Amino acid sequence: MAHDRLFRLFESERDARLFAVFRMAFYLGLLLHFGPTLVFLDENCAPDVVRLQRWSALLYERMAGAPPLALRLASLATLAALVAGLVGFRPRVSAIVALLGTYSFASCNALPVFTLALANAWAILPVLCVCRGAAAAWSVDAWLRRRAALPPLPAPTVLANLVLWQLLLAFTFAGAEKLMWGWPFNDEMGMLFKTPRGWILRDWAWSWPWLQHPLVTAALSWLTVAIELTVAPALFFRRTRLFALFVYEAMFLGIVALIEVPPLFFAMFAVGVLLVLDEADRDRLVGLARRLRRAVRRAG
Amino acid sequence: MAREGGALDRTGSEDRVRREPLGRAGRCLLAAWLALSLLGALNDTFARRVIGQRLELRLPHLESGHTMFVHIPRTTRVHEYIDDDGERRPVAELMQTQGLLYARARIETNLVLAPTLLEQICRRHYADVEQATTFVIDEYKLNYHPERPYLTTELTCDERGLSRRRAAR
Repeated sequence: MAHDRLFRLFESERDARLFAVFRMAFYLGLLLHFGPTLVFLDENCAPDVVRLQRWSALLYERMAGAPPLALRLASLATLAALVAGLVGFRPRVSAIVALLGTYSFASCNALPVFTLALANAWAILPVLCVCRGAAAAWSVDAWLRRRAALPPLPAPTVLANLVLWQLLLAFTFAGAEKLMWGWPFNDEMGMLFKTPRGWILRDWAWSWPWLQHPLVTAALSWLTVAIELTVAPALFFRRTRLFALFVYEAMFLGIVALIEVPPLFFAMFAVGVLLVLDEADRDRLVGLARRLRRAVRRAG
Repeated sequence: MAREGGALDRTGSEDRVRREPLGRAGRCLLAAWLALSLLGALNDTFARRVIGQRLELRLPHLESGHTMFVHIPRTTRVHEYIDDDGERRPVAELMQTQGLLYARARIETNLVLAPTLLEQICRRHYADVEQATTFVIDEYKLNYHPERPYLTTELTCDERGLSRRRAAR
């Protein structure tokens, strides 16, 4: 039955090592994103600083006036949880603490951390809190179990599939939102490349006048919407998977190369999509890499 | 044991796929989670068009859309200060909490969301250096000669805080 096939899709095992790579990238992204905020509390979560309320109004009102020692302990606990998550130590506990900590400090002051990538992080952290498999490979927990001659941890199933779901849902609906806003027929991409130096464009992108050419910006607009709307389904068919993956990664590399964006955004989306690869895909990629290397050697 | 990653892949038997079957309760929770996430995504795309407003879904990951630069403001401002060598530098450098690897975009976004942040940056900077500094705000109109500032405002940051020096067009 159709609903049974849908559930079996989410119950299927994904590569534990690829998930480990995602886990490390995800928590590293969170560390880079929240690290400065958690370290410099007097600039971010104090009564006399300019703050922005975006999430919990209660935490926004109460946290800034909390005793400094309590705030410092909470920030240290959050940092420790992010590091523990990165190295795969007690992943569900570290996800719980990381979720509570990042949400609390973001509620205290949204200014230093506000980004839409955070919504996706807060969709993934609850899944990490509940589902098993985050530390099945390349983790402290896995190493400790090997040392104790215990059976290995189960590979991620629902966990990895829900992460993929969240990332591809966000990616696809980013394209849908653009359509709602009139892309690709409006000139928003053109406006982006007209923004001044020092705003959001990287200096080298700002210095390339051909990026402002109407044909180039129109092409980029169409490409962006087309990729966002078609890559997710293409990733789920073997014939189109690797090509869709290359296109997806090229798009994210292009975004990061042209625009200043939070590292969390790239860490989640560019690395998380690799979870879609299975053993056969990896073999094909290795084969492709070998052929490319041989071709380069012959050309050299 | 051979494994297949994509459930829509029809090149092999589904029996070869390792899976961890959920019980009925697990499947119900999974279905609820998927439905909520889909509802959240639709909330920001279609809800306004269909029912005229966004639904209040409360969960933090459902409260916003998925596109950061869907609309570029036609008026943008770049905030800088003049250092001891007379060079213009981004005000992001004056903050301890910089967006790692995206500091300028972070501070410019923050100053759009909270313009009074510039006064705080000034006060803290003056407390550190105890000498007046000139802040410069260049305003650009993207629909009108975006290659140069439409308006430049210089502010003096001293013991009294920020005060306007002059504006040039």
